[in-house]
Amino acid sequence: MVGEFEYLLLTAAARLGDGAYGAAMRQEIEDAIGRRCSIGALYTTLDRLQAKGFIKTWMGEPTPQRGGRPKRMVRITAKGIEAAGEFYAAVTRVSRGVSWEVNRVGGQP
Amino acid sequence: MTRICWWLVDILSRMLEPDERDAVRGDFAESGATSSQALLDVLGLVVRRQTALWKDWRPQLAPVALIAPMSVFLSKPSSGELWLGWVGRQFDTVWQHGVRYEAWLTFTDDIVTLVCVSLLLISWTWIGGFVLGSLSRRAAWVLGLLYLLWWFSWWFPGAMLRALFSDPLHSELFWLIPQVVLILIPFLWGVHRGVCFGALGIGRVVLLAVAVAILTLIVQVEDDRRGLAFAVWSSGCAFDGRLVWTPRLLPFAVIIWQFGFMVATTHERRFRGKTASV
Repeated sequence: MVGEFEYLLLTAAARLGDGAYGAAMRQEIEDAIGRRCSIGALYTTLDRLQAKGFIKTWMGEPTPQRGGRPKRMVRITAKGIEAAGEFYAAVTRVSRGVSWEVNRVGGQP
Repeated sequence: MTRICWWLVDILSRMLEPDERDAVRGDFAESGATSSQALLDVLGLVVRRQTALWKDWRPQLAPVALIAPMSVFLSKPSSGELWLGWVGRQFDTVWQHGVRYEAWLTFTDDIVTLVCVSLLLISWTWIGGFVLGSLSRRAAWVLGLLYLLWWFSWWFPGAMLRALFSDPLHSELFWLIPQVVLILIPFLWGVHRGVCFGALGIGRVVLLAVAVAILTLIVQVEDDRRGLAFAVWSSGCAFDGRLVWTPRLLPFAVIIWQFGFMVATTHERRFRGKTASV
């Protein structure tokens, strides 16, 4: 099972598709959670996910926008999709019927 | 302030792997990060990376197996009776009396001792640095920094005090020059090569081992001979110049496992097809 931050990264990678790389994923996560995401957490977690076989990373082409430096491109693997799906299913299951979940869908607590 | 922060970002990011450094610096450029944000981010990443390195057994082994014995061992020839003792005695005599301190030993004997001890110190510290770099890779710089801080912490305050109350020749600050040349620079050079390449060719390891063994033997013989010469000379007799040698195995014991490590890493690297040229 993946951790919550790992799940956020997998989701960002899946959402961004071919445009998934460090800075874009960081922006995606910050927009989603409304908090700052540190580069240290981002890159060490990417390494961990890669070691688990949930993502693949490679160095992209340098771009002028980045001062001639390359991006670290990210792609989620089938194993990563499966792990993220399991995490989402578990969170959905465990949240069923709790007050915040009921309020979110418009029911009574 | 901004320039200082970016300069620090540049320095700190050198502790990252080249690809990661490029990716991170590119992310800063693309996101328009401020200098303070970039500094905090890169510092956080470097701390995480260094912490991860220390989870491995090799950086933990290095101080115990390498720095501690080498420090004790090097402290004697570098500041004790061998190098500085001999040079100090000669300088002192020439400085105060205008003549050499002889004890029936020739000028050639002095030069042989000087050259051999200098080469031996350079070899020991280079090998120590290389093994440290090879063993602990990116953690080596933190280890090296701690080692140097430790070295300066016990040496520097005392040396400053002594420098204030004695003449320049007797001050330990004067001896900082040979210590830097014979210990610090070869050590840092060795660490750099160890971090960059990790292994030497087997021929170079054997050559280095033979050279260090011969130099160690010469220094031991010269040291014993010098001790005997002074003892004989002090008793008012003439020294006949004979060679004496009391075998001391500690230097070989300290250095031998490092050569063993170098041979092992060479075999490992040969398997992967990567060897270094020094």
